[in-house]
Amino acid sequence: MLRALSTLGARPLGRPPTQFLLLARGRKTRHDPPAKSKIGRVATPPAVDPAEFFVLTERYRQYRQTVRALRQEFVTEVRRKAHEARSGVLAERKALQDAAEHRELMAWNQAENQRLHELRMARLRQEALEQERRQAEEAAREAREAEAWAQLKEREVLQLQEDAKNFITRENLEARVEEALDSPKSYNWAITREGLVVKPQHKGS
Amino acid sequence: MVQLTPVLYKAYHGGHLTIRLALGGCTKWPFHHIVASPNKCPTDGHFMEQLGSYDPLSSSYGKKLIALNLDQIWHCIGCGAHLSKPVEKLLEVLLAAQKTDTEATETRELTSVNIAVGTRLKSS
Repeated sequence: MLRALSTLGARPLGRPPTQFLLLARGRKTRHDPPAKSKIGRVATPPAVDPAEFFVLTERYRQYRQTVRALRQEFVTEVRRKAHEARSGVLAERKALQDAAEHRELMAWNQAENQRLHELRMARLRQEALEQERRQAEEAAREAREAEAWAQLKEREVLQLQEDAKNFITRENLEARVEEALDSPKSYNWAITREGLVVKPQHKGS
Repeated sequence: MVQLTPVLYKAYHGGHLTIRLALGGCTKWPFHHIVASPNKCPTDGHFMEQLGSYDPLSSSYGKKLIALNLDQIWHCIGCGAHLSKPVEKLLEVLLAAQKTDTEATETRELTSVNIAVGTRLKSS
């Protein structure tokens, strides 16, 4: 049956040949019945030489004993190392050293903090003094400015009072008008680009 | 669906550390790394630690080059690692335990192993 199936692939059938089974040793599946030539067959295991068997078992036993002993040695070694690392003499010494180092570092840190605190306080005091000085200066400046402003206003007021003496009022209106009419003024002048006032040299121009 | 905690996972799936030869190299040029890796991983896959190497082609007058990190190997065995057959064969010269007389004669006559012990082999 298998030979017929294997020749199917060789014949061209118009499509690519599909392989149903691979040609391999032990071509029977578990569901195929045994062959007729194998009816009276009794499977016998290979004969055992007692001496060789004894030697082999002895050697295997010794090997396995050795390997087991070595494995136990290594296991105890690993456990001992773990125990030493956890709670041995060296570990304790190291722990003490670490604690001492930690204390030292904390003390140093404390000292540093103190020093920086001192510096900070000094700086803050300095800044406070600076602030006060600046405020005093500001106040003085403002006072000076206010005084100057007051003096300016006072001068203006005095100036105005003096000018008020020359104002034209209803009383001296007539007198001022007569005065203006009596004094003619010539507006016939020009100014150059340089700012020089140019008046006519002779009359009638 | 239930996700197992590591203890239960290990109890159910099992698996153990194995020291074995991981095949590398290319076609017609094999090279083995001696590697401690979990049992379930593929032989040349993820490993925990590299413990040496074995070059089967470096035979000058019947000698082969093997590198072994013995400290780490003893540590791994102490932590409960199994050994594969080829690794057992490589280490039996050190363990001083020959399985059979025929094997002993083979190891003595044909392949006199030249062991180069590396004390601090880092994994590549």
